[in-house]
Amino acid sequence: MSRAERAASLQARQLSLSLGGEPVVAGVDLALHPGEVVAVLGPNGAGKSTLLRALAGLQSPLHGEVLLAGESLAAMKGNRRAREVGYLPQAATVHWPLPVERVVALGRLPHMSPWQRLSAADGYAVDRALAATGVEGLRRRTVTELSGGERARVLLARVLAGEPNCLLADEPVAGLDPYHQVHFMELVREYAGEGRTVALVMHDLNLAARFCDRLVLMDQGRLVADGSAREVLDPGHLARVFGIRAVYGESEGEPYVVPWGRA
Amino acid sequence: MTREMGRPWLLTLLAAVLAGLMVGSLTLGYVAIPPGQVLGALVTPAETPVSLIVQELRVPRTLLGLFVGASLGIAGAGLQGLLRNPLAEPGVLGISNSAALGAVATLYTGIAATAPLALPAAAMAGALLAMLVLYGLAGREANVQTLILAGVAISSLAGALISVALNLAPSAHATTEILFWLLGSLADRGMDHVAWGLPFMGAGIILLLTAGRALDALSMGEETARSLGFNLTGLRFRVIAGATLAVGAGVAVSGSIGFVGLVVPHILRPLVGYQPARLLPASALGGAILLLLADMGLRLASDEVDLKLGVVTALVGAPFFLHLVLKTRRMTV
Amino acid sequence: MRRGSGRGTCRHRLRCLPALVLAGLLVLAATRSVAGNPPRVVSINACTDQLVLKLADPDQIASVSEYAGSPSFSVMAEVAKAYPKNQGHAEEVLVHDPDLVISGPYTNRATANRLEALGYRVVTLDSPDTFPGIRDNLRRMGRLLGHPERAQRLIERMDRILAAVAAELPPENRRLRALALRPNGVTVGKGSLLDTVMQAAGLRNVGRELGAGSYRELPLEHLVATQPDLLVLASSDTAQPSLAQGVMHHPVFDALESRREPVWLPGRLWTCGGWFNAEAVARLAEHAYGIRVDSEE
Repeated sequence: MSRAERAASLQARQLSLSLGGEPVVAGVDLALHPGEVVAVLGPNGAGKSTLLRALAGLQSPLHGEVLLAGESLAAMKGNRRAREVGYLPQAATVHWPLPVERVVALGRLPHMSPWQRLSAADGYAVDRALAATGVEGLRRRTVTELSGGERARVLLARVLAGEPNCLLADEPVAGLDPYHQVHFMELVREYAGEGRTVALVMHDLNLAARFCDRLVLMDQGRLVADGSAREVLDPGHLARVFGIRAVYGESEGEPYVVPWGRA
Repeated sequence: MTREMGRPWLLTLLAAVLAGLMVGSLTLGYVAIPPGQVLGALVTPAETPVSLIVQELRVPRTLLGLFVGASLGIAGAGLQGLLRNPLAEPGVLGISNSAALGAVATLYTGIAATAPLALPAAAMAGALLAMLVLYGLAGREANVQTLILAGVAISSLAGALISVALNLAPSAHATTEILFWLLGSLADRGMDHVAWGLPFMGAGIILLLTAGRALDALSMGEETARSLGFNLTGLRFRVIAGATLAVGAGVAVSGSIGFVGLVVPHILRPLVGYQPARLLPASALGGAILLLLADMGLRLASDEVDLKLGVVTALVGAPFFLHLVLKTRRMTV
Repeated sequence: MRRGSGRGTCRHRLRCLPALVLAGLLVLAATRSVAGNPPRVVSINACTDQLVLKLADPDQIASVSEYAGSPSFSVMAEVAKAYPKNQGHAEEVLVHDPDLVISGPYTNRATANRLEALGYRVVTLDSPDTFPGIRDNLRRMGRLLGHPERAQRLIERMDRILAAVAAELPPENRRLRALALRPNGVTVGKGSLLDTVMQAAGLRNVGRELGAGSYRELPLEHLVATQPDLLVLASSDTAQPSLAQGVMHHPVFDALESRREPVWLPGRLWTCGGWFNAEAVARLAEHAYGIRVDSEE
């Protein structure tokens, strides 16, 4: 599985963003490195999703810039950006009852010229993505008829098929049962293990602590903490940012945290 | 290895059926001419009545049936892809009636008589206006009800304005003219209609065909489509401009013909694995097939009843529409 | 222009196949007609059909519309049997390659435009709703067909009947108030041919009081309120319609019917403008006032 590691890291510099005229992200500096899984945490309305969309090049900054391997994302052609940065939106829907392998093949679109059909290389990438997410058996099934867990993996496979160096996903495990949450996290860990960059907007503090290399905490549009789970999920942050107190523990050398009451 | 799923033979099959229907449409008319003589008349200089009938009446009628049908079919498929709604269709959404209103306005004011391309241009302007109003009214993430209700309102308003305009016009033609613009006909069009109609319809069809890839990406939603590198503004422009050219010019030639863009994509969608890009060329061919069939049907029945083209397509299409309404009622689009 | 002899007696298109193809082929080999010869015509309108059938020589008539053969619409239905029929499509005109195409105001505009674009002479005749208009139409048709003297004779005969009726009419104050009723509850007022016919027969058209133009759906309330002396049943049927049909089944008609027997006017006498409108006038006058004039040919 080892691939040549390219130094494709995504970087936000003094990034300020607005949503419908309202400023929602202010002066954020954030660097994502190859091989790491980063969780973006924060209460509702903290600006996590907007930040992620800007990192994906889907929103132009009010101030500051996003750099992809040192190059401005805004100046980049859509096609090239799409090959480098894969984005999985929140509660992604598929509007037509497409077969699973068609959905996954859509991930290859940035690699295809306008009238070209799927090449052998494209087909290989689709097969790999289907295998990596364990949905080969569903390839002929209709995507709209899948269960939530199956669908989440198919949509992940769609992004993975594009083989982007950066994978950005907005609340990908929300609505999944615990088994599928853990499965999903393992899949993205594996992907990061290939030297890719992964950033996930999440609400589950424990999944973040358990599976992510680095946690980033946002509050009211600002980055308030950036580091390991122990550093970011300390009682002070939880009280100030989320307004909760928690019970802490450790299992297999990894910390866990259980929200216990309002602060 | 992922194989191209679906049916690669589909387009070939549709093209073959279409070719057969074109021959049929040339052979079938109000005057009986043996098929051999029809084919001969295609190449003889147009001096005899038979070759005049074939070259000046049946060839344009067949070509226009082909292109108008293809325009309506592909415009339906394109709009459905853009709005991600299987009920979107030029007729249902009032785009066709608005185009007809544009055409009628030039006839009523006499502009059509002075400027040769004023009629198709006004029809296209009408179609464009309807689409912009729809888009503004119903929005990009419109739910089914809003979109269809807006379409019904536009369609009725345009239809009513056509009636008013033609009733005000000092012409004994009013009733037949209203019937023509609201129900459509390909009767007694000529090569002049082909000359000004086909380029616009062809350009619209090509523009819509170029939107396929982006429509595929759009089936995963706008955010995903953009993240896949597609420019949605460009996509909207291509679909709306393509539908404007195709439907506007089509209506200018044939009047408003409903349901073709609804029925054809609906039938073909499962056969192309629900993929918007593959639906586009298939719907163009399918639309041409349906319209040629309808036009041949009404010529066959002409001894018994004088049917309008839009009546035939509505007879076929309206039940499909009801079926789709029932199906999409539960769908969240 | 060319001459052909594509006349047949077939009524159904498919059965016309040999005749029509033959017509096309004969036209191929035909010679150009000498200038000044009466033109060969195709009529594609139910009203112009009757004038053509009446005024033209048989070999001038290439085809008339299918309505010409219907006794409900056409006073020339018997004569029309001899000629090929058309449904007003350009193809059916082209196959006869006529010198002249005669259409009416309700002819499909696309068809007329197409024929003109293909170099045919298309003359569109008005549908007149007054006797001067009818006279003009007859004269114009006579000139077009090269038989002005026939048109003049028709006009004179028509005027003779009209004058004979007019001479016997009762004074204004004793004239009957009449209401024309078409099966779907439609009546006519000023500006319609039927109104002209009723006026000429000395009937005061109640439709005018109702403000009806050439066509108006009549609320039954108005009918009761106007209390006409005479109902004119203007139907397009070949047989006299009964009051039990259509809108006329309503009980309000029973009261009206008891006053005076309604008079029936078949559609062929009033739908189109022509010399035969005089016969309609004579029939109405006879029914209303017992005036007898010789209106038969």
